[in-house]
Amino acid sequence: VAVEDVFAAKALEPRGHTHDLAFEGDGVLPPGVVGSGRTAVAGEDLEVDQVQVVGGRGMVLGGELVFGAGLGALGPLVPVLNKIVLDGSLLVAVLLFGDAMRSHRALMAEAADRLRRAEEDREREARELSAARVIQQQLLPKEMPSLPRWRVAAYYQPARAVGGDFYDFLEMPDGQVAIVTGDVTDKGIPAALVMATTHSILRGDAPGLVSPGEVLERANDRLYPDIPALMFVTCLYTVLDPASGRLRYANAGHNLPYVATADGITELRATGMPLGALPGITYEEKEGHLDFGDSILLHSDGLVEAHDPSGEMFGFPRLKKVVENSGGGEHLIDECLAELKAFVGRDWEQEDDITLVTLQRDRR
Amino acid sequence: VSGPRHWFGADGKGGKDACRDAYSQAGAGGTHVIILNFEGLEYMNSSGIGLLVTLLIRVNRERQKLLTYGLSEHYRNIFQITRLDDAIASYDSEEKDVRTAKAP
Repeated sequence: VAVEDVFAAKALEPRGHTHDLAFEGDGVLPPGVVGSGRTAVAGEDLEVDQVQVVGGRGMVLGGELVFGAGLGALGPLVPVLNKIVLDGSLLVAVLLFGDAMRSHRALMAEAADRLRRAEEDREREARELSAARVIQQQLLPKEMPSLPRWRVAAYYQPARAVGGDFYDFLEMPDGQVAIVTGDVTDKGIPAALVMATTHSILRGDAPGLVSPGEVLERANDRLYPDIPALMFVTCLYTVLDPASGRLRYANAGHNLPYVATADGITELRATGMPLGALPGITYEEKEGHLDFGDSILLHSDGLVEAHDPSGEMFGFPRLKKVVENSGGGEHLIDECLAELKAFVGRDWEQEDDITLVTLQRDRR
Repeated sequence: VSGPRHWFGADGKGGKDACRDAYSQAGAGGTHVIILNFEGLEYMNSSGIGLLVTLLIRVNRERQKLLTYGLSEHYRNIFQITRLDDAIASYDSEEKDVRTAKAP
């Protein structure tokens, strides 16, 4: 491909002496720096210090100029345009090889218009995402339930602006409280939409139902017909009687909670297919008991499936050890987060939503 | 109990299509058993679990059997919690899978 037909977009001044610049190839250029030289932009000579091909479809010249190569129209350049804007650089020129040549001015105007619209779209998306985040936060409990002689704490951190994790406390008429923790497949907006639906279903059913297994069974039947393909919701539904410490729980594939007792760490082990995966599922219901001084940690997989820089997973055994060594209660959340931080290192980008809920029964 | 082998990308990208295509090939022509090799799998996100559920539904529909081997301790745990292990038997090695598949 010989660089002969060049259209400039904007702000590219010819500088000093010129050199010849030419590419050889079949239109798909390998990435990398291919040299320096001169080209003609809109009939004007142009010196270029460095020509770099980006991914075979675009080029960076002088470290800041981006070109689309071998393209007949601006359409396929949109990802390139977006990248430039994100990088804070300025689109200054577009190379077109062969077909569909257009005038310099028309191309410039179109490029500028696309840049402006891309910028507007990004601003609107950012506003909408921010609003979605606020709406999602409204779905989460605004305060912890007030349970005499119990200490309750929660931590919720989506990996993106919105997330698929959720937790809830539902007060039952007889003084019992339902503790719900859930996790929708994936993260971001799709997960957040399914999270909102699941949250509504569980809230809608809870007042009339005290059987955790039945709550999950109904939620599954309601979710299954409408949930998108490959998506499902893990959910642990626990009903606590704060007066006695009695727990009844059922589990739709959510991580098992750890209970720290005077005798060591145990799991509340109930298993079941995640919600929305298959129709007509029943859920086993189990019972447990939190004694005076016992703590329980409910957790989503964003913690145990975090990876360190070498790719090692945080894992259940490490979390179990944190619970084992903990003083319990609300400190447990801080201790989990401190361990996570030490494990993943400084440059970690959160991989998945993280939700932690702890309850501790005061000592006698 | 023999048939084509397929490998899926480590990052899961394109896994859905790759899995569907692989099943279309592996599951055709009177195949009775599909064996999934999870050796070397360090991480599978929840969409991967979703994919397995979908595969399970298809396999059940075709009256086939789904077996696995090489699952890490972590994912054996996840299979138990999600009850995937009720429907997908997991073994340590392909030989054990094959022995199970051949058993009457």
